[in-house]
Amino acid sequence: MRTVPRWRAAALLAAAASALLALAVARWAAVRYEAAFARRSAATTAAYLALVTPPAPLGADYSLQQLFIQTRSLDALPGWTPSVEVYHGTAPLLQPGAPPLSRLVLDRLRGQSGASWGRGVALAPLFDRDRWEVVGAVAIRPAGIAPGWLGGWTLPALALFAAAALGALRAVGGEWERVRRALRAYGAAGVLFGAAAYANVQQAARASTDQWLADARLLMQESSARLPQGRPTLADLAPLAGGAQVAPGDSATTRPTRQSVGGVPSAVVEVRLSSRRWVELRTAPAEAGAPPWLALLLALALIGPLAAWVAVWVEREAARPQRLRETAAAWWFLAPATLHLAVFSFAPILLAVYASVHRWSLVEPERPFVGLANFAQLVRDPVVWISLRNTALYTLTVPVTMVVALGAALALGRRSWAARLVRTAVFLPFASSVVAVALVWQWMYHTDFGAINWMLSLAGVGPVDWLGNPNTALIALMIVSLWVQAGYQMTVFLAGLQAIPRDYLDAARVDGAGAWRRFRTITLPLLKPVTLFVFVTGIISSFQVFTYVYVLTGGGPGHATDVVAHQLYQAAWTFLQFGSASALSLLLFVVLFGATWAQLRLLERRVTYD
Amino acid sequence: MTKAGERLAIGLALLATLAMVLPFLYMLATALTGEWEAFRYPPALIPARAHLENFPAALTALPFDRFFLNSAILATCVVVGQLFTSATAAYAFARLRFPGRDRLFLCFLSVLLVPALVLLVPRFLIVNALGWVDSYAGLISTELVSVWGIFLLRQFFRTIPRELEDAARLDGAGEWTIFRRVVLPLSKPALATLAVVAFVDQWKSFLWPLVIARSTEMQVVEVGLANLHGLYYANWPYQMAAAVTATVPLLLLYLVAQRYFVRGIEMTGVT
Repeated sequence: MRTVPRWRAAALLAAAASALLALAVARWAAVRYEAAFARRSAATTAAYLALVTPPAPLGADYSLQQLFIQTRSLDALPGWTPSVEVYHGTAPLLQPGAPPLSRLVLDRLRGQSGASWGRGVALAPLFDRDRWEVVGAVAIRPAGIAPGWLGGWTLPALALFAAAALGALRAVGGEWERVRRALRAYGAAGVLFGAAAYANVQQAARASTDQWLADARLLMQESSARLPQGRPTLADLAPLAGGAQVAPGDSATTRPTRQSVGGVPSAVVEVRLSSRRWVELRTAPAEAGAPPWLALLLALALIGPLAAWVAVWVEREAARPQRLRETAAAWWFLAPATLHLAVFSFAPILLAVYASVHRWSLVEPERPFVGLANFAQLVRDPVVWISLRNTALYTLTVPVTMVVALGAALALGRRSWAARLVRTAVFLPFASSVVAVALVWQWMYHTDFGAINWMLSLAGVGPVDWLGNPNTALIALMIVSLWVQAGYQMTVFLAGLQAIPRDYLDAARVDGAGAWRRFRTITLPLLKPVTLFVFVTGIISSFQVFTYVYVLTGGGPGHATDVVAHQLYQAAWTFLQFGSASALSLLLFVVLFGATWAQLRLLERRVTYD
Repeated sequence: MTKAGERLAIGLALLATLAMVLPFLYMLATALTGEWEAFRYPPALIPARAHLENFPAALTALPFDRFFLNSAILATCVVVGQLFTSATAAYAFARLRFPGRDRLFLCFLSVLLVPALVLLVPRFLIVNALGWVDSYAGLISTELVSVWGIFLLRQFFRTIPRELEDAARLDGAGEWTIFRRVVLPLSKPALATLAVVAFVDQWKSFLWPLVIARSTEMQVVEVGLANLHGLYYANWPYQMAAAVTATVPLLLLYLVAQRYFVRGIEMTGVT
């Protein structure tokens, strides 16, 4: 019994760790977004200064005085929030007393393309007018992007979380109903707390995009007003946009808004260059990439409740050490399989959902959120529909094969050596290499020299271009499938037939029932579960057919043998559209769900009855 | 059965045997045919001379020795891995009592709701993120657990009488000892079935090795065979020679372990 307080202390510790970790991660994520804003803003400001500052009389460097004036005037812009410092060489311009930039930092800026971040300041290189030499740096200290540690709803949520944690730990060991209520409240508080922490991250992400758009808009408008040689062209403004799109615009809203541009959610702001001339600045909204933080924060916030749950359970079981030991042993035994399934089965499903709403290519680092655009593209693609139709047609092999396999099982169920030999022969194709089988059939299907056309020619049927004719190609594949699957299905049917008690059939025979009648009234009904199982698993596997198509036809001719698996393979590994391929995977999941559900039910029935 | 029915059955059985075996004989015959002799009409089942040189030529056209090694490594590692993970998990599900056991088992079974093809793309993304594309780790890691295997062994473990374990338990044996000394030795047939099924599955698997193995040295036999088909499109004797070589290990395994093949299918199909 002395172990009990130790468990309670551990649960308390877990609650504290859970809260601190969630807060720290939320803060870290928010600061990352702040840094992203500052780096972008510094680069934009540097581009702005390079555009509007007149050059020095000699060389490509800027006039120091002009650079000072332009920098000073930034603070006067209405709505400008970050604090700016510009270094000319290593010397600070605005606050001459401030420490100069170290040579080392400036040299490092030369070597990199974008801005760097450190100690709450983003530094971007200031290039000369030829955009060749780094003549200084722009430092941006962001303000008001990331909420504080306990900003927003975090503080009340934390208070609630702490109260629920204490309540749950006090309830441990008490009346079971009360404990359960307290634990449930603790879990709910954890979810709330995680959500509140995430709200801060989301807010920081949104603010980082909005603030940058607002600042970039100010600088573009200002450069348009200041530029000595007149109106800037879109090409002049491109460096200010730094990766965002600049497009001609016409609307008059001046605040950043969220719009869908060609199916891709974007953050947009309108920039007024002159009374008649507007451009639109578009960028990917940072908050679209924030949802993974929600998962992480919720997981962290639930560490506490989970630990309390374990503590409660251990305390309850402490009286029965045998059970405690057995549970611990069970989890050791289960750990390998459980971890593997979590990483390679459950995580992929979540990842497929996530990837299906993003544009995801292995070669592009950007993976913008695109909503349901991938699905819309699939539904609009006629080839996807053709492949679905072909796959559905292909599954027609399943019932045909079943008839053949059941017939073979009925004929070969005897114990004679001949029956055994034939059974072995029928099973051979299933036991052999898939590609080898595909190749020999391709050779037999050969139009001019293949064995099949030769046999047909004996019957007077002219050469058939089996795999080259869109009308026969799919049928040719289905014949291969039948040839391979018949042996497998026959084996399953044989096992099912053996499970039927001989007495039933003998009794029917005594009653004078014929072979057909015995089959229809006894064998077939008793074989129903097996038949259903063969049918369902057959549908599931033939919906995923790939190898025969890949080797024999490559989906052709035209798209006559294009199946879902082949489409999926092409989307992912030919066109590298992993988002689109994920969407197709989910579509397949939905289409097959009925069949897989039936398969699980059939299996489950066996679990409960034995 | 009547005399006519008997004859009909024998005739059909003979026809079925021919239909099943002839393609294999044709494969072997073409593998022994000269490159141009194959394009003879009408096709001859028996070549004028056994062109045995097709085999070394086809198997060195691409590094098939390496492909066979890779297939063997893949299949062996997966067999060992699946035996281990399935046996441990099945033991916990069949023999140990712990809270949430049935719910967790259903959770495991629910993986069967997801067809393998659906997992292909996201699994590739995960393996890619781990940096395992084009490596044995990538080839093997995703296959190390089989829910079918867990189900199969759990069913089998439950048929082992508990008295045997209780005796060991009275002697003070821990769960691991009971698992290793009592349950595993009694489960040899089930373990052999799982091993054979896993081995054959991996040897025949095509799509996952196709997308994971990028370089030639990492290909498995099945993918190598498909690549040979692409390279020597018109040379049917080469293709058939390689196909025969790829099929032989599986057919040998089938002839030796036919019992386990059939039992594996029976156990997944009906119990």
